[in-house]
Amino acid sequence: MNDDQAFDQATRAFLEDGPDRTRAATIDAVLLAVRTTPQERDLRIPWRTTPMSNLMRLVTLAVLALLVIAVVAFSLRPTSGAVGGGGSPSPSSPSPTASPSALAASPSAQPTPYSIDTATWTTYTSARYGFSISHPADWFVHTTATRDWTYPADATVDMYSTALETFVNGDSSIAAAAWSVAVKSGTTLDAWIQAYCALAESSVPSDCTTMPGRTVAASMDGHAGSLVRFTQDTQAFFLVNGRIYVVAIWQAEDWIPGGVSRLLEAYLSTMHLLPGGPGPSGASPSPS
Amino acid sequence: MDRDLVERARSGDQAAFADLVHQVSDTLLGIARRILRDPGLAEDVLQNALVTIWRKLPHLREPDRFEAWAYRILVNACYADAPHNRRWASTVRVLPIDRENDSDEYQALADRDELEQAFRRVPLDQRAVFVLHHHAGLPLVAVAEVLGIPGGTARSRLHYATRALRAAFEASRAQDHLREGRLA
Repeated sequence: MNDDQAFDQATRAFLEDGPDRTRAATIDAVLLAVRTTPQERDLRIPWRTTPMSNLMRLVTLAVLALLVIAVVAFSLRPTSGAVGGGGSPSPSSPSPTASPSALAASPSAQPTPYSIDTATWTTYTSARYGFSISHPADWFVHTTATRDWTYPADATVDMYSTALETFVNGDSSIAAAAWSVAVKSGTTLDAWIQAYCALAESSVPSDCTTMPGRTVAASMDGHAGSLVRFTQDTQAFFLVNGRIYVVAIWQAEDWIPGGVSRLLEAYLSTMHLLPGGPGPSGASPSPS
Repeated sequence: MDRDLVERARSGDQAAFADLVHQVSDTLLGIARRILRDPGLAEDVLQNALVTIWRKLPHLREPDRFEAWAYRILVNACYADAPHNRRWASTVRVLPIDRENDSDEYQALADRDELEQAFRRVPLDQRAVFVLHHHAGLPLVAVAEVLGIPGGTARSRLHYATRALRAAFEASRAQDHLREGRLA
């Protein structure tokens, strides 16, 4: 028996240990309590008590259409909002020619109730991938990359891959990771992200087909890239000097106040590519 | 689960609810006991959870999802009651030392004891994911749904709980090797 099997067996035995029979006295106590405990009233209101006439349907549709038009007009009004700010996010696909200054990702540049101050963050340097990045002081380094990230093999593994630099918060409810991979000449950022999305374990199929609507422009160390809000996580991608750089936060967008993408932007605002590029082991080309 | 029974209990039928309680109480107790690691506390939590289930049943939208809904109430009851628990440390088993015979049995006991102690140190939310997945047999997606957390969170909680148990298991095996060395 190998270690994994022995561990599985021991865990099963540990979990199955002990009786699961509820004592009669416990059940009696519950049923006694139930006799004197009223149920809460369900305050749901029926959708409709009387049938709706065709005329009413038309009027309702017209009102709804007007509301939609008003909302769309309001959301399309000119704003100076940056990525993830209070303005409407651009649904267009990422533009590598976007001006980095227009994409100022630093939360401090656009204060909001949820702005994130990165001044106290701890800087981490990845010699393997040739960048530095900071993480909140109360997070810890979960994994230091001990090997190169390769495509497509590592696109299917989870956040705890040993090819990632991974940071985790104190209660382990949220993880951030960064890594990089060399790509073949001529590879575009959009094409690479699409291929990656199709393989990524955390993606759901609709993530890849609806990616344009989930993508906003992002900036890292003066380089323009794309930030994609997948269903279960948010990731930012940059193509710089023949390498893709990825920073990911494995958590749904609404997990924290202000959104996970704002936290990701804060991470990006602290990220800098090292002058010498990746270390020797990180420079090996990937198949893609 | 009998949908009709759930519907009747939801409408206030106490006899139907009694039948429901008999059907689900053992499963719920098993989950609570494994999360809390304290049989007495688990019975108290089960009792509270079942009364809460009765109270809130009219709010259950989909009777077919009664079990998952009940799991959620139970786990929340575990979270609510556990901080008041002061008995966790008192039930740690004391192992006999240097038993030369029945080494397999000794090893199993040692493993279980290490796992027990390690699991008690794991945060409740991670324990809940571990128990629902490995004991109740729910896929991680269903665990996430029951607990109302994103799938990625369920995955990371499971990872940390498993990592803690594996470390304890490996420590137990290392101690056993040392013990064998001393006896040799």
